[in-house]
Amino acid sequence: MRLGCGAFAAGCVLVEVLGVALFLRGFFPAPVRSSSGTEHQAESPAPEPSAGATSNWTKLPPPLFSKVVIMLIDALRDDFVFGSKGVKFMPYTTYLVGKGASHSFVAEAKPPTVTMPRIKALMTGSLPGFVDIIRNFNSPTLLEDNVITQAKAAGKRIIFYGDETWVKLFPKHFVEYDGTTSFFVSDYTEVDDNVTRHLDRVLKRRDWDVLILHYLGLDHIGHISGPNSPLIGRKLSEMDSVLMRIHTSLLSEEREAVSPSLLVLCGDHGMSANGGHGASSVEETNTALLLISSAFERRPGDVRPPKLVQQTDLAATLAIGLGLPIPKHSVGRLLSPVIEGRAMREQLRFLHLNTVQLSRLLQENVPSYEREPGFEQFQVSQKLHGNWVRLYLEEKNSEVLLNLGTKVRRQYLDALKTLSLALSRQVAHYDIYSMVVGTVVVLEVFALLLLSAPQALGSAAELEVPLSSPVFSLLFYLVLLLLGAVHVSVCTSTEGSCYFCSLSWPTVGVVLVLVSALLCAVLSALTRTCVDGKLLRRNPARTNSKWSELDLLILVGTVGHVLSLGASSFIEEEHQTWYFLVSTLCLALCHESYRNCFLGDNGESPCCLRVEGRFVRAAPTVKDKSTGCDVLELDRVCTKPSSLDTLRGCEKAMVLASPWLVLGCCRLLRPLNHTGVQWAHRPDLGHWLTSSDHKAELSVLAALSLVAVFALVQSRCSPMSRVAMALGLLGIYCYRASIGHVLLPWQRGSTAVSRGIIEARFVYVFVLGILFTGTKDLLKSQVLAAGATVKTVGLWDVYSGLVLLAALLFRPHNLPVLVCSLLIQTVMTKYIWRPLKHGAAEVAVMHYWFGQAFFYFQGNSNNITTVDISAGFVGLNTYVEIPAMFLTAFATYAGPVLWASHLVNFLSSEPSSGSALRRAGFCYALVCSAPASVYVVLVTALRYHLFIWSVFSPKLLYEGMHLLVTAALCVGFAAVDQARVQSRSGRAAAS
Amino acid sequence: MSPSEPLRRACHPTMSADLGQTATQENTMKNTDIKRLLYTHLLCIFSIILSIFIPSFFLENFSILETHLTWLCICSVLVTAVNLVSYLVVKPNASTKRSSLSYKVTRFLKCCIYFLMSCFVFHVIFVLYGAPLIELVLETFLFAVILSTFTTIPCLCLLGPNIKAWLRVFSRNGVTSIWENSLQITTISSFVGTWFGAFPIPLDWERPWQISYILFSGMAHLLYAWSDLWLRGWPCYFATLDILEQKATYIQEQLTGTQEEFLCRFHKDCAEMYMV
Repeated sequence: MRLGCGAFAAGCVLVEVLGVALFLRGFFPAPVRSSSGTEHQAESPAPEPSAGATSNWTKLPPPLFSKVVIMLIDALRDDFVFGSKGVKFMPYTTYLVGKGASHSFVAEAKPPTVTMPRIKALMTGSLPGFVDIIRNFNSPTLLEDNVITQAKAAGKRIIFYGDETWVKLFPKHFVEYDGTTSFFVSDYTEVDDNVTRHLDRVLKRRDWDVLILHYLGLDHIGHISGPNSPLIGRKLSEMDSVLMRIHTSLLSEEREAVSPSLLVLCGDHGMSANGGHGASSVEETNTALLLISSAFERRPGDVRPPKLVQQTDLAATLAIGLGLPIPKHSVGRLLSPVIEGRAMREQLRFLHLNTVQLSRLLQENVPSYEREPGFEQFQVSQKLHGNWVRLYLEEKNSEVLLNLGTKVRRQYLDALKTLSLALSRQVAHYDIYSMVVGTVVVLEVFALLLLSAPQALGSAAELEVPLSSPVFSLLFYLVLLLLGAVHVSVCTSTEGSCYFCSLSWPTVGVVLVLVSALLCAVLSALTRTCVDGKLLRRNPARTNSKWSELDLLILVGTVGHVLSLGASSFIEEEHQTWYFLVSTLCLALCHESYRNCFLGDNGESPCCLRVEGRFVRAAPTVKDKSTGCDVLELDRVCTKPSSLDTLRGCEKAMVLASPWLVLGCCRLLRPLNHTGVQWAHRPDLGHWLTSSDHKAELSVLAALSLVAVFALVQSRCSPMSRVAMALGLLGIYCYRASIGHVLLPWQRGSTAVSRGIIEARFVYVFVLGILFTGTKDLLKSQVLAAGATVKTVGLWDVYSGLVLLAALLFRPHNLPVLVCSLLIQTVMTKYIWRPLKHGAAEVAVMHYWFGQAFFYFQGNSNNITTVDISAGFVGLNTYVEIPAMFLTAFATYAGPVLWASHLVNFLSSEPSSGSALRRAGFCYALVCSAPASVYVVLVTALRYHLFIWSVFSPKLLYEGMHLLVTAALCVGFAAVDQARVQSRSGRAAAS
Repeated sequence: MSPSEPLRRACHPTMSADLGQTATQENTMKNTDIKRLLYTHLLCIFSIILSIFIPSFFLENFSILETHLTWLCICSVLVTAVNLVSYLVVKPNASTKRSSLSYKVTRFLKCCIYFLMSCFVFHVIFVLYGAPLIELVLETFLFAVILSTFTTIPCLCLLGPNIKAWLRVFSRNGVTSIWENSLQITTISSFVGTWFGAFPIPLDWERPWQISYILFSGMAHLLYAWSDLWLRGWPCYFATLDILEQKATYIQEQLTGTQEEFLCRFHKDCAEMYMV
């Protein structure tokens, strides 16, 4: 089957979108969440179960400890405390572990083993995932239910010294804090001295309940010189002495206090063999956890090896210890040794509270929770507990009671273990299998696009798509069979939840067929390319195709941009890459136009030659077509020769000046919105304009921009849409005035600010009207074979409708971006692309680059916070999901969309463009899918990177969204192209 | 694009003995050119290295990172001087016709104006690329000066104030001599070096050298030096190629001529090869 390469590319991008969607679903695991949300309303705690008799204990049990000191040492691996290093360098701690009143554990941290997610895990008991970032919308504050917030709500006074991350997570929770920054990794003494210097003063004071110390020095030493460095020993001794100071001070205080205090020594993550952290090796996940309190009595000679527990268990334990409700999303279980010394009734009450919390979380997250073994165990133990309470209330202090209580306790512990496991399985890991399937689809599509590029960009711009051969080939069935076997074996062997496995069988079958068909197609394309390459090598005369400097720049720029996505800084500052590339493109165009004008063949300026050439070329078409279908083209051609001599100098000057004009426009737009990270704090023009003092300036700017938009768009519109455009732009100004952004000249004083619903809807009517007129023209040109003029006008109407919509949705200070985009498009069309006769592929890539640059000129970045959500509420009374999402997406991607639709306009307005649009569509698809496909692989490789959640994941979402937009645009390209082909054939049939 | 196209064309050996003689003459001419080119470039690199070390003897507190502005000045002055001197000594395209003094003076003045203009044009381009308009204006301008030193001054020395000749040299297949070839390579690699020099700016390593202008110029230097080395490598490569092909003709002669004669010539040739 022969297929136009535009349609082929559109199909490819659509399949690629499917692959990316599957990858995203696997990359962002479904979170374990309680539906009651983030609000911290005081829920009454679960009452003690009782069978028949009424229990009088419905309140939360009192706190076990009066004071809690948490000493968090960054990168405290388990063997630093319990291993030979601990014996050597931490004598006091070793003494406490061996003989003192303490419980020691090895706490297992879940990847990513990076400080911030670990702190979250320690304090909330949940496993933080990407959804936190979406929920918090990148505000660094921890909004989830956690121990610190609960403690603050309960009136506890918390003091914090150490890593700044805590202050960012809990900005208003500490009565006193001193954050140290962990940026300068080479400093490992100052960071800790800054924490220790407060100790003396704080330990003497009695006015706090919780003290948190976070020491960074050990982690820094690990980063500098690894876990075997002599510096580690020195640091451990220092930490040991700090621990001793705190412990003795607590002990001396305890003599006067009623209830004991608790000292927690823990690490947030471990340290790998070369000193780093972030991944999931045993050295990185196993941390030391030591709970010290005089309440933990131990018989002499009772030596227990440290038990392996989860890091998340600490949150529940701390909550119980401080007499607080357990955080809602905690998947941890109470560390049972902590409550061992208490009375049996209390022990059972604590365990019951924890089990109820976990089972509630399970009910909300697992639809078939009743069949879960943990839930069944919970119900059994709750019943037993009720019986025990009844017995207890009837008679006290008997042997039977104790034995029965021990049994109930064991039952509870089992239930807790099963519940906790079931919950943490849900979020533990990336869903690698879905990710791999998605990646394979994406890469296959990309390889197919790349391999078919030589054929598609050839003269015919058509592709031989062998549809029948892969379906009937042996290879296809073999691959399909193999994939099916792999699927079955993977899905039956994995323990964790896997999205791709949970899909229904027909869906999976379709995906597998797709994967194997793509594989066959790629292989056949590869063999074809090899054969062609051999043929080419045999007659080397044909390989003499030349690469111009511009082609080279486009190639280097595209490849360089794709490679730059591997570095987090380049993702943060991606706008700089695009500005840089666009500026370089302008300079290259400048070079080209200068060379053409000054060094043209025969000493004649080629731009003039080009004009004449067009005349010569257009002349036969005029002769051929007796019908006046090309009136517009004819007019232009006929007027040209008469004014050619006068225009020559002027046009030449414009050709020479236009690259500089474009460069100047881009430079003017740069300070409008500073995005990115490093330079985002600089004062920019946008803030200056939007501040209420400069409303008059903003009004003038907006009015001028709207007038300029009209001036630039109207010349090629149909008369009706010209009027609609003018009214629509007027409506936009009224909308902005009513919403209070700009001033109306006849308005004095402040008027009531409304939401401008009527005005916005007024504009929407015109947008829809213009779009409708344009589409009608397009359809007319297709069905009635009306000719190219109608079609060109129709396309331009659609384009101007989009411009009007963008003008409505843009923030008022961004209107100059729209004007500059239109201006650059006009100038480039007139003075660069036409005179210099660039190929369709080059023009397409240039449109893509400019579209990307304008995406960032609008103020977007690779951070989710910069999405302008207010665009989704324009003209809507309430939040309606689908229109709001569509409007937000359009406002965000207005730059790329407008440039792509201009590409369609430009190529179809070119006479005798033939297959140009198809080639451009293919090129556009190829250039857009390159970063997406490479980025998918990069993210998979970097999934344990330090910045995976903060930098790489938002970019992944942006990439996915961009690919979706590209798919829509490519379908549009293919549709317009198809209409073109049909209209041409229809015309041929008519004549 | 093959920068060595004219070289190859000029030095392609012919198999016949008579033409071989003329080819040898051409080769010796070209060899002297290559040697001159080599010395000029060595001198340029040397001047850049000197500009790093010499000022520390005269100026206190001199270091490239802290007092970069002085260094930029010194470097551009030194490179200009070396370029001028080498041009005056070597005179690669010395025309035979005598020109009047006034012509020379106007030519010189024109050159100066062109240099200043190129500085301003580069400055404007840097601002268009995103350099701040008002703050750091001195740094930006000095950077423009040093980039013009690396690109405009060799052009002015070699081609004179003749825009058409410049455009010819910097377009495809416009090179006519080995000097222009070297000019093309050094200038283009200076630009490319500057272009690549912008890459580390967005990285968040917070190093002092990451500030744009230092990096720009540093990379331009590196690329300039690198291109020089590369250039030096190419002529040597071609020289050896020529000699090897001459050897091939000798082997052909051996089939016809006497053995002693061949040996004698061969030894002489080997000695020549060592000298080169």
